Amino acid sequence: MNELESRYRRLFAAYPPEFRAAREDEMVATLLDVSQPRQQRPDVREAAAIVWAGARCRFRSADELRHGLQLAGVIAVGLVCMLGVAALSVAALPPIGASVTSRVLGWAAVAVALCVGCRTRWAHYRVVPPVVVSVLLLVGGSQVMGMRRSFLLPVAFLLVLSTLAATAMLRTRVLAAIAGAAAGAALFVRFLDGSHMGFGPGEVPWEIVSRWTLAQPIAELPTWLYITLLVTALASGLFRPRIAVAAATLALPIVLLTTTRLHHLELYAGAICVAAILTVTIVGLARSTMRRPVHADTE
Amino acid sequence: MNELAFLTLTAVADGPRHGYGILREVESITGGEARPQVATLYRTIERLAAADLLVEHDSEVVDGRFRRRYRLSDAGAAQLAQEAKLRSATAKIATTRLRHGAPRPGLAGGTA
Repeated sequence: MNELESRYRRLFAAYPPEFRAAREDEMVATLLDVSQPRQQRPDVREAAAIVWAGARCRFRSADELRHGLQLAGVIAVGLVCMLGVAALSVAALPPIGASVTSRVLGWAAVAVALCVGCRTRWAHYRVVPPVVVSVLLLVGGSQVMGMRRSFLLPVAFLLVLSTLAATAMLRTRVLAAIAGAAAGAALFVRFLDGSHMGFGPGEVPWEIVSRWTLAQPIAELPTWLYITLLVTALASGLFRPRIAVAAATLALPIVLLTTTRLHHLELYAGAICVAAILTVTIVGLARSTMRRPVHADTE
Repeated sequence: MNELAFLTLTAVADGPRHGYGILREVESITGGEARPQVATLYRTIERLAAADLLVEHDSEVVDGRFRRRYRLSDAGAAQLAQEAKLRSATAKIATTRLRHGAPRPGLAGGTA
């Protein structure tokens, strides 16, 4: 193998392994054919084309990636909704909002808005639910927590994910509904639990409020949703790459949210965002998106 | 069908060719105008193969270099014929219109 050939072969790292196995030899032969007699270094345009085509090959079926992000976004929407309604119900409307009924109604409204937002006819309005709940969250939550970075950054992260999900067309409507319902159920259970601790209508001690609306839900509900997602995916035989992407995207934030104290979150929030983006990228890179090979015998 | 796909199908229309052969044909068909990069050509080949317009004919190792030859499938031949007809009709219209001189203002089809 001469110098030029090995240099060209190194560039093929841009392609996914399956592609390399199927086509590298053939393409390298062609590249050597078009090279000049004593050429030592790859032609710049050929090299650029290889890297570009390799990257495109990896991300060609970006569908799985998109669906995974949407799913992660749906769950993030659920989370934002929960925190928003919880914060609003206790902070902005203490006497009424503290009742289980109003919380459930509020949650149902959000869930309906989310589902409606996913429907084609109303697709133009699909950014509305995340925006509405984020406003709710900011208004309600800031009254409890103040405009602290430790509060705003995790919310911003969830908001980005949810907006991503909402702006793309949701095709995973069933899973969205399941995730929404699970989130609602989790919230319901949480607040029912809360009432055992004297957290009832009219009596809202602030430390309990902050504990139950932000600190505790942030620690426990993500785990809940994460487990729900995985169990649902496994149970319904849907453990496809898109689910893996969703799980991978959410994994790190979940871990950090559940293991760090709230006031440390500001240290991690930026890292969470970066890590999530990296996770998605890595999952995208790991997945080969090569079209089916030339041989007609596969699939 | 994009230009390179059209040229690639044309290049194998009269018999199977390998990657380098297709490249040379594309260059000669276009009088040296089109010189696609190898990776670009193979992306097109892969796309055409996925659409069953192009199929693998055979493969061999010549001088230590692996060669795979491609040929038109029946679907590819049909598609190429259709595309050629369309393109030649368009070209004919263009030539005819050019012969009538530059477009005059006020005629139908003028843009603002």
